[in-house]
Amino acid sequence: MRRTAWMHVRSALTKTWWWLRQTSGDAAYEIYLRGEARHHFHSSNWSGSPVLSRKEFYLDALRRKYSRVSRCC
Amino acid sequence: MKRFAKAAVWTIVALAGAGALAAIAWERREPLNATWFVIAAACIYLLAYRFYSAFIAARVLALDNTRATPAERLDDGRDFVPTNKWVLLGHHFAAIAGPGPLVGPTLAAQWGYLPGTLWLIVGAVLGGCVQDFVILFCSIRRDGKSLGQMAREEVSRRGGLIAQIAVLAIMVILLAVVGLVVVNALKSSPWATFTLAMTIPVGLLMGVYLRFWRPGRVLEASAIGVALIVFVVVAGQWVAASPSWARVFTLSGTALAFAIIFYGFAASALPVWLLLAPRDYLSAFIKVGAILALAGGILVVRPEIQMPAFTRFVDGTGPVFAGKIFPFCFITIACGAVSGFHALISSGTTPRMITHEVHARLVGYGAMLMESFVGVMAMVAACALTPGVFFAINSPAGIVGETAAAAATTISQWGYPVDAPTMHRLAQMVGEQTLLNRTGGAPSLAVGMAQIFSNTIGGPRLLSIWYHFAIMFEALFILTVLDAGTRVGRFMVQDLAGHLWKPLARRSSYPSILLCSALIVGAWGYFLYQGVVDPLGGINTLWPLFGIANQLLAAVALVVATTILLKMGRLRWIWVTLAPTAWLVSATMTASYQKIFDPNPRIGVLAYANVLASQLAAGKIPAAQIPETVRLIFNQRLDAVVTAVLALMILILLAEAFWQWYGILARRTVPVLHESPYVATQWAEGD
Repeated sequence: MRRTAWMHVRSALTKTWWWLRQTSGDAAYEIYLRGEARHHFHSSNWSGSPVLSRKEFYLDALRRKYSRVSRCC
Repeated sequence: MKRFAKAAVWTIVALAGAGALAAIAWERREPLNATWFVIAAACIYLLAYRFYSAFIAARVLALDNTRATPAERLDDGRDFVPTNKWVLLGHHFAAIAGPGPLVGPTLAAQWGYLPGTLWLIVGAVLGGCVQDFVILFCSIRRDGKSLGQMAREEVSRRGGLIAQIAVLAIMVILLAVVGLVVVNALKSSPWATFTLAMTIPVGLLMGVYLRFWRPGRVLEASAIGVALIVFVVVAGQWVAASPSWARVFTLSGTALAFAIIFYGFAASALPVWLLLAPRDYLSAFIKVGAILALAGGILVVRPEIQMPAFTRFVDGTGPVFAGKIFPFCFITIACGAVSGFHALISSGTTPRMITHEVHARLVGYGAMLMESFVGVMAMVAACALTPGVFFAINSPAGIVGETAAAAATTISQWGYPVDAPTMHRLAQMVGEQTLLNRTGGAPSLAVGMAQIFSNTIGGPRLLSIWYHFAIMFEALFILTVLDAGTRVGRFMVQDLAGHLWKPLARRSSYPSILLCSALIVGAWGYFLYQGVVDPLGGINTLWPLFGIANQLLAAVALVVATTILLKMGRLRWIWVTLAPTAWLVSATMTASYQKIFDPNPRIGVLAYANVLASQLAAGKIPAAQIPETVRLIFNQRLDAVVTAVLALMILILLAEAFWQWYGILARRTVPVLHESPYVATQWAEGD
């Protein structure tokens, strides 16, 4: 019984951590890499450009984010 | 049985919501507890989400779960990224949540708690959430196109141009007014000024960490940043206690205005990774943390509401700014109930990340409900102050007098007792030299929040720390809006200037960056300076102007949404967007008219200019103040022109839209929808 409760807590914590990483942008590079891998094999969307390094991707993401309205009043 | 249980639960929610709302609306005998506000808002939001948004999703928009979204069809791993709906809700909420829902309701508390609270709830449920949801849907069906592009394609070419100009205008006024809120929060406060100044080196450190040491490790950098910020908030008291350091960080309103103008220019022109982005991460964490803490604090402390349901200022003589409930309460609340700015987010990043059309309901409608709830909490925090203290903090010196004794006498005569020693003691307890004449909403909200926080943790000993934490939190994310807004404004100016001379449109060309940054900063900086030197407090003129511009943009978005619904053949449900449009247009038009032409000089800017001009002509102005008065007269006339131009734009757009609607209804034109063609989804259906 106690073990089940602990498992629930652990699962909730894992999910919260996952959500936090996804929402904050911490996991953005991993998402990008997964997308690139998917495009290589399955999609016609792949542009053929080389995969960006973590640093290149970070700068590219910032440039795109702050080129349009990203914060509200 | 299950169905019966569901019906029973929703009946209980409905009864609880109705009961709590009735308590708020009719209870007059004793101080009301804030719990009623939380229950009323939460139950109505739940009902609205469960039933009204479901109705819009199923009947009005007919969301199609089998249709592939742009995130699926155009998935490029960068702009178009399929994203889990709860993650997207977080993204979207972080983007739409700004200082407006905190400042607006605090200012609107001058009419009492009832008008503002009702509009926050009703306006969001029937207006703001609908706008965000419908625009998000329209943009999803058009590969994530912006509001301006949709206005151009679906209404008219001129409609697109109006949307573009409206966005730029609202940006300029928004940046000026939020800058003014920061100035009034930091004025003569070495502790708050030091804390906010230190967020710049903390941001730079995070920027270098994220760029060179650990690229993209946002959580690590933010954890370091938050720890440093907590330290500088505490360290601020040592700075304030040291006479020599306190002098360095005690700045006048004008000096702060120039510092903010310089900061805006630097943040717009410097590389985004250095200052803007890291401070944005920091601000997002502190913002969400402070909002959650406020919600938790209200539930734990359950403060009593001290403000009456209606104050005497419903007659239009309010000290924070003049004007009656209609239209000014609606213009003031703005973002907490309906925000035109959200339409830019709903037609920007979010539609490119949604995996299924049905998720638009949670993300579009749901996020705005959360935003409205933030507004209700701000209202609670402001109304938990005694009315005398609230008016002492928020009334400008030009109305209540320069000295504490004069202010206390004037406010007590209004029927809201307060005395000078009380204000002095409160200022000392929160670690400030004075809390008088701090118009703008931020200090009174910070006092309200600090009281709630210190009753939860720490007691009166920590009141000053909590106050400065609240001021830092408000100022930090206002400055984030300011720097991100200035940068986007710079791009807009570059795009427009490119029509005149092509090289100016090159976003990475340094001469163009410097020139266009100077133009946009100069535009909002001018209005900011004008607000700082205005003897009536600046907020009196600028906040309504901002509200008018914001609600105008909302009207543009709702007109676009109505046109699209009409073209989709949803005439039967057209009231869903048409009713809030009609309300917003009538409130905006009435406010614009009164702001320009009202004979009362505290409301009508032309009347104010005329009073000053006649004083000048009669030789009643001392020689030393003549240049300042001449500038003040010019500023009032400029405000009249800006308001008139905004009002005129919405009238032109409406005329264009009416012509379109007439053509469609009279079957003179065949409606052409510019939706992307249907493609069946390859994914399992979302829920």
